[in-house]
Amino acid sequence: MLKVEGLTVRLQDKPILTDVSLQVKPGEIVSVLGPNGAGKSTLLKALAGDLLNARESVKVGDRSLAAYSTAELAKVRAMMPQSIQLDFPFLVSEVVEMGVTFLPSQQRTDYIDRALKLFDIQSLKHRDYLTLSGGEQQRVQLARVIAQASFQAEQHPRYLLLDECTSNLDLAHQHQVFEVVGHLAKSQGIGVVTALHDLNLASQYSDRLVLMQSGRVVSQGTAEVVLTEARIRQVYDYPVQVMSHPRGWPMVIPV
Amino acid sequence: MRMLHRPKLTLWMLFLVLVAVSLLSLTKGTLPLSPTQVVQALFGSQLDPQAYLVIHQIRLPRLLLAAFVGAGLGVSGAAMQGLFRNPLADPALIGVSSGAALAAITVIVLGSGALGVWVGFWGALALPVAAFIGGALVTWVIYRLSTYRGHTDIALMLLTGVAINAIAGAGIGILSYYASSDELRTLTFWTMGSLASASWQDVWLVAIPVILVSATLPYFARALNAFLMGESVSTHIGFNAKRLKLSVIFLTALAVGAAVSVSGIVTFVGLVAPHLVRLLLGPDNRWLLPGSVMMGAILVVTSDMLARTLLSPAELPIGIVMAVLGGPFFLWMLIQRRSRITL
Repeated sequence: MLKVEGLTVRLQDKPILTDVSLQVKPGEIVSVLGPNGAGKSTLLKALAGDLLNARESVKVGDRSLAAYSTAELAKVRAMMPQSIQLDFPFLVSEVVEMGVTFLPSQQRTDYIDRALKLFDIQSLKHRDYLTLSGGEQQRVQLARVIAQASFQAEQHPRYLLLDECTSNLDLAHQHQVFEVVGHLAKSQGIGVVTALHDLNLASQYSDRLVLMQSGRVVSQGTAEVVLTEARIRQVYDYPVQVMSHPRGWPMVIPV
Repeated sequence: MRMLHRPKLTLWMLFLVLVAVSLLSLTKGTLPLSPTQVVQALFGSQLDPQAYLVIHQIRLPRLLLAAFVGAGLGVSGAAMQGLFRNPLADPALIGVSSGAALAAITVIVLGSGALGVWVGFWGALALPVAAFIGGALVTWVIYRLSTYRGHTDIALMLLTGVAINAIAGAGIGILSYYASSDELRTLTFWTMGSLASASWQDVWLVAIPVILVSATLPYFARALNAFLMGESVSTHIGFNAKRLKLSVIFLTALAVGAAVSVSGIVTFVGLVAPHLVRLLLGPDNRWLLPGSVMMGAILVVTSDMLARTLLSPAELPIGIVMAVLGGPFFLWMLIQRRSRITL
């Protein structure tokens, strides 16, 4: 279980996160929602161990992140930041390989191929990363992170942190990514935390939602609990209507 | 994109090219020697005493000096481009070389006066140690100034280099007022980069640090690869980014300091060599770092051969030859990048 309790983060005396508590079970998909500047990315960074001051408050099981070495932590969690700037002409296979750089080389090829196949980008394997479109680059980075999260299966509790990982993707690929992530979470017991802007995508694929505003958690629970008209209106300061998708989950529609 | 896909074979081929260029370079000079004479003299045959003397006293130390200076600048350039996550970083361009040069020139000019204690303590090592400290200091300052939240601003990096080059230039200018006419001659020659005063002692001074750095840097190759996607990404993958940064700053300053202390400021080697290797082998640091060792040596040995022969019997400073070759190359790189992404 990935756990954070009463986390407060300040940057230059400005509170970014205030008293945030969150638990993520293995196999569960939790989506963090909220307007720009609500603290979604900061929360994910804290969970990833990027914020040194917050390491003590984030726990995997009973062990705080501060007790992990960098190499150990890489086996426990994989993280995809919002944007990645790479200025060198690596091949797609080499980029994905970096996620499994600590495996023996034979296994590495295996994991690379599997990860590429998950996102349907085997054909890009020998392409120069810099010549890809933004959406293709994002899927390559996802493949890298997934490859990292799925190696050494069953040995460790594992968590996948995805910060707006579908921001450059078209409709079909957005859903494809969440299908892949959802399947992986269930089949391998990986806990997933995503930061998202698309409320409906979150509603459809998440087990739980966490709604944030100005660094505080406003509400968390199932989509039905969190996505109410009054609450969305208050947090986003925009009128919405909540309807039910024909297949069952709540849908937020601006009015 | 990549011309060769067998990295180890390519590295061996680069080594063979280096050997070939070196042998060719040994034949050139006021006393032309045949390749046979060169090889005989190299293996210690004294059948031709004049050839033996020319090779062992003049041309071989100079050749080795060129090769080690080139290797050190080449591998430092490659590692620095990893540290700054940008292919335009070059030790001379961003001011590391001039920082090292300023420190070394300070020791030359003030060595007999204000810095007498320093020189007394370090002896023959006073110059290279000062150059190392100057280089490390500048790298650290540039890194701190141009990197914000794990993101290196390329414009800021190059502009910091401009500022540091100007400051170092001013410092060297001021020191030249205090220099004796004898010191002044070495000083001017030095800011242009020169291998003319090659001695066996210089060869040792540059060979030991450069071999050490060239052997150590590839140990960080995988970490550097990951670092190219950003400091936090490399941490997520499992590398200790802080250790990597400190090691790269320390090792590149060591190699650049050593190179500068024997040859002055030789520009563009650290930019051109890694770029050529990337065209051959791609950006993977496991091959890029050893490749840049070889390519840097090839470049400087070749340029030095040109420097000695183009205006023979007069001689050009190697720094000028490298700038003539490297300047247009840098412009070409900028044009290439402009068509692809914004600078």
